[in-house]
Amino acid sequence: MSDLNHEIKALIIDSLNLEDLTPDDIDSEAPLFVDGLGLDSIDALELGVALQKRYGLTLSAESEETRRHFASISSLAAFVEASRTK
Amino acid sequence: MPDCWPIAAHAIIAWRGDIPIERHAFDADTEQAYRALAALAQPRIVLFETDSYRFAVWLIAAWRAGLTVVVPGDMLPATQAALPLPWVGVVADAALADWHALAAPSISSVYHAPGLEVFTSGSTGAPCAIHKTLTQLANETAALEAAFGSQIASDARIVSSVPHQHLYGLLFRILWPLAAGRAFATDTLPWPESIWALPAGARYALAASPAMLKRIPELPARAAPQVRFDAIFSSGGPLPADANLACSTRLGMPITEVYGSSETGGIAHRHHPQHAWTAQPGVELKTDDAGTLWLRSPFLATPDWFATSDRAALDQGQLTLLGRADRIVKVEEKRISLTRVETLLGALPEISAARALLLPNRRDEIGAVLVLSDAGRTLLAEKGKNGLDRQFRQALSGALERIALPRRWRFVAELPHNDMGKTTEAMLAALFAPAPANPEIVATRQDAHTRMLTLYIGAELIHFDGHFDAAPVLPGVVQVDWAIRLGKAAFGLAGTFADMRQLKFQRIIQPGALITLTMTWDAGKQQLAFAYASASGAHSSGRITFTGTQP
Repeated sequence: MSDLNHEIKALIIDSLNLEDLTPDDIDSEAPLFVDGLGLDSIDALELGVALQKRYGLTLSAESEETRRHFASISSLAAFVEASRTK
Repeated sequence: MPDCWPIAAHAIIAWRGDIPIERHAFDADTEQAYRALAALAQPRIVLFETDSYRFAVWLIAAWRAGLTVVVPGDMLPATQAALPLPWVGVVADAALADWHALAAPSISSVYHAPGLEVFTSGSTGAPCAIHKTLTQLANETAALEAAFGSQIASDARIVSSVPHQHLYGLLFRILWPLAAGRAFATDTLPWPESIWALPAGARYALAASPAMLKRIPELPARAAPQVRFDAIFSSGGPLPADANLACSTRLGMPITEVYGSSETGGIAHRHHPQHAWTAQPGVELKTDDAGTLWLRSPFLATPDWFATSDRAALDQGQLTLLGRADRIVKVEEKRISLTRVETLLGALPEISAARALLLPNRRDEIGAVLVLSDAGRTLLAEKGKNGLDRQFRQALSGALERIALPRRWRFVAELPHNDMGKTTEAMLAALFAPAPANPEIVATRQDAHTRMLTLYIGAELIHFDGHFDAAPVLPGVVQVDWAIRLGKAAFGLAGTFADMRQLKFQRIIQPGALITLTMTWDAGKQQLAFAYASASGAHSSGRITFTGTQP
């Protein structure tokens, strides 16, 4: 799981083109949006696309569910683990 | 031949060093230049000339011939290509380089639209032409004389650090002195030190750029200059209040700031950085509901109200400037005020200056260029750049939508600027170029022989590309190359690399590091000693010998 955490952190940095940041700087339990990493709505769009491409998973249209998956690196890793097709 | 520009009766027109150029010589030179220009049979010429006397001769002669004179800010090949007209002065067809070389030809034609075209860099950095009639210019010099003339003696010499190729320099160093009967210096003062080299025993008025004045307090301590200033002007860009006060203490004269632009001419002035501004004689001011400053002025082409791009408050005619009017950009369809981003950043104690701009990358992003305060630099050393970026984003998140928060940050020791002290958007955008070859210089410190630069080693540096993918390390050859280039710039060395010795690499430098580069110049040995160090200890050091650093 921690390998997947690291992989997702690297995917976020790479796909969102974040600067001055390494995977080690990202706290697995901290919120991705608003506080913590501070991603915005455009980042959410881009990250969704990147996750679909990399792991072949389908994102729910239901926003409450998506918000739970996208809460932190750990919750995202759990979601990827459960839903990935590649 | 008709007189177009009012020239007061005075015996000495200009000073070349300590040698006067007298009125009769000026009249003879303008007569010859006038004949050369009239023979051209062209209604417009381009004038680029670095010597103020020669510039004045060509300009007055051209106006007598009824020509419009286009005055570019530089003589770069692109500028020459953009102005396919006869060039006069430094860049000139052979016949127009020097009026003395000419046989006096007969006058074939005279035009009737004497005027001036100057260029302003504008906020985008693209030059933009502005036309001025002689009436506009004469109204402006009359207002300058009315506002400041009584404090400047008639035998004071006008000296300047700003090129006369821009409107501020042209008005203050040439047109106003000619109209008011004062002599001007032919050469531009290139360095702050030049003030101390002015011929002693005379009185002076100085038209300076903020870029030069800001550097005067940084000079090593020395006695006040051996000359008396009747007035010191600063215009063309903002002069920070602390630099203003330190400068007036060292030069023994308050700085008169003139607020205006090439487009509007002078708008207002003040003699103390904490005072409100007073409108130039003849200028009317008002503000609208949005706080934007408007003016009506005899220096404008029409009597209509003109909107500036500044916000202001007016109280019984006294003007307080409140920053630039909103610059609105769109990020992914959302409207964002860059002015607001800058104001919020500038209010943080860790930041002493802030600029924001739109970066049209793969997604639209806001970038911020910051000059950190001492508190900010301390925090950078503690938290690293990522920690500081995050803290700034958090500080702004209560006041800005998330999408308006800067995502890219550049820390600089000072904002980049041109020779007029202006920071253009293009200069800021260049700091965000992908795969840069140079580190961010966060701060500089110096004493007599030593320069200390604080460098942030960003992961986006091109030198980390492939060196090595798994464990990026800053190559030693890059560290030596930086020491050579930064050392040459810091000490103003002109020489070339001869050899290097005592090279030691003790500890690797990785992305995200905050490094102090200490350099010492030994002029006797022509040797530059450098050392890279950080909180983790010494990284590398060595000595580089140059040849030909002394002329």
